[in-house]
Amino acid sequence: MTAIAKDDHILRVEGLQKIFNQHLAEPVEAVQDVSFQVRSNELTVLLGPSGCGKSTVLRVIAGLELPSSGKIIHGDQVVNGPARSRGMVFQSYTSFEWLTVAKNIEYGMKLHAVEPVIRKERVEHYLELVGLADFRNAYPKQLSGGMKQRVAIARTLANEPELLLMDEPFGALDAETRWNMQELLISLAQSTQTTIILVTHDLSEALFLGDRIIFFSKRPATIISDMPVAFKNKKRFARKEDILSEAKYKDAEQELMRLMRSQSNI
Amino acid sequence: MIAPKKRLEIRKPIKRLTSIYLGILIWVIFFGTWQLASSLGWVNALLVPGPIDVIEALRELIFERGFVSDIFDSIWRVVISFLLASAVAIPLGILMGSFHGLESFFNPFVSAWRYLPAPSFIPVLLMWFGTGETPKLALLFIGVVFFLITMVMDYTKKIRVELLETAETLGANRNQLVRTVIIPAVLPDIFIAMRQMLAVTWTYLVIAEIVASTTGIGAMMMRARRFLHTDEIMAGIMIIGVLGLLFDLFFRYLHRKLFAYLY
Ligand SMILES: Nc1ncnc2c1ncn2[C@@H]1O[C@H](COP(=O)(O)OP(=O)(O)OP(=O)(O)O)[C@@H](O)[C@H]1O
Ligand SMILES: [Mg+2]
Repeated sequence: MTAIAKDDHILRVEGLQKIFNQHLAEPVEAVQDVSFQVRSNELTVLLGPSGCGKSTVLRVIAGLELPSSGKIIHGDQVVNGPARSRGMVFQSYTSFEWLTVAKNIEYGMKLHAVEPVIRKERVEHYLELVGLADFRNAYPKQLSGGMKQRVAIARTLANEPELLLMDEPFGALDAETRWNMQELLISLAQSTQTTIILVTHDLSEALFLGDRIIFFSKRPATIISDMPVAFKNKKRFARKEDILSEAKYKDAEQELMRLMRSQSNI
Repeated sequence: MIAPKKRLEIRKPIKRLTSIYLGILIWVIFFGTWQLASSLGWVNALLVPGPIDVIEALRELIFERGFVSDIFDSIWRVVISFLLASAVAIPLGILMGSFHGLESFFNPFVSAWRYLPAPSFIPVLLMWFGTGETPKLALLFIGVVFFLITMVMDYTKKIRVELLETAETLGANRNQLVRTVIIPAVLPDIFIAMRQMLAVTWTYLVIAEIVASTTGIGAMMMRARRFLHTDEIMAGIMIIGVLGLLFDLFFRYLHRKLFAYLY
């Protein structure tokens, strides 16, 4: 096994604590003490019971919230606000409905005055990758939920972030669309070599997508388990049914379910 | 064929043609009753002339008494003052809806003015601006601008925060956020606010012209009152209704054209 150099870590979360309404009568401690590091090209899944603080951790990483204590270090910079290098995909649909699919994908590049020729090229590339080439001139109103999420993912990737943050991106989709999108995400992660942090509370999604799963306690969040998905042997499966035939899959799911139950509020 | 069980009629869709016929029917009943009431002498014909008399009066006004220039005077007043009010209210409302500091600064002022009835300013407006066009335009402006500011601000505040955050994580700065997300997102709603406030502008127009004008639809109606020409007054009301409807249709058409992606 090769030793991993320390500078292999693209992101470091150090002693993160987040208290909302800190100076009001009823402060809410959402995140108590969370530390972890993320390597380049890794697909990290954040898992935990409902309301435990997963979204908060992700939003602090994105720079949309500031930590109450601790810090986020991305590359060699302390995160103090949102930036192009940390793209975010939300659970709710965020397509700009006044722009066509192609213009939505182009949006971020236009903000940064990327040359038109390169812009067009990249739009075409990502239209193909997410399978929306036939819909380049359609408006979001005309798209299904899964297609809207594909627009959001393509728009973020076309902006070439170092880090792709996703907060339950497939949570609003029906089961079939959801596993289609999961497979798409695996293939995008392979082809674009983007580092991804994804929040979910769907156990099978976590096992299929994650190279590594970080499991949070109930609120206020601390890490109660942080492990690579061992039975996958550092491989990623392209198709969802293939993972189900792995001998250890059931055990892993059972283990996660036990953790989930131990942290359940209900 | 299965005979459908009789169901509750609540919110049951009806045929489009049926809906159009029903819409026409109420007008037929209205004009029919009105005509009948005056023909059969149920009402004093001098005070309530029938619709046929009113339309005859309207024809005479338009073709023999130069009423068209009054109509254009009124339209001009509405359009100019409404454009002025929009030019102030739209940018200000968007900025107030986007930046809490500006909202805190302007809103107490704007809210207070909304509760002052615009016509109460007529006496001072007349003293300040004399009898020209200015006091009329000023009245319409005051009557509309504060409502429009508030509506635009509220619509701007309703833009989903995820849209703004998405743009931020794509690297948009403050200017770009306003220009490429807030404005395009709120524009269709601003059009709806404008459509509603245009109707209000017509209301103030008639007040302005009745109180302090020698030209325009309202002034014609006040002249007619002096000579007990009830038919001409009603012709004026009818014209205002028709113009209001036309402006409304125009805005609806424009909305569909400009914001086709919403339909
Ligand atoms: N802006 C805010 N102001 C006050 N409290 C907040 C805010 N955002 C989140 N919280 C609180 O922090 C806690 C954690 O919320 P968070 O959304 O991070 O949980 P989550 O794990 O993502 O939940 P879910 O599974 O429902 O998405 C919750 O109790 C929530 O009410
Ligand atoms: Mg959440």
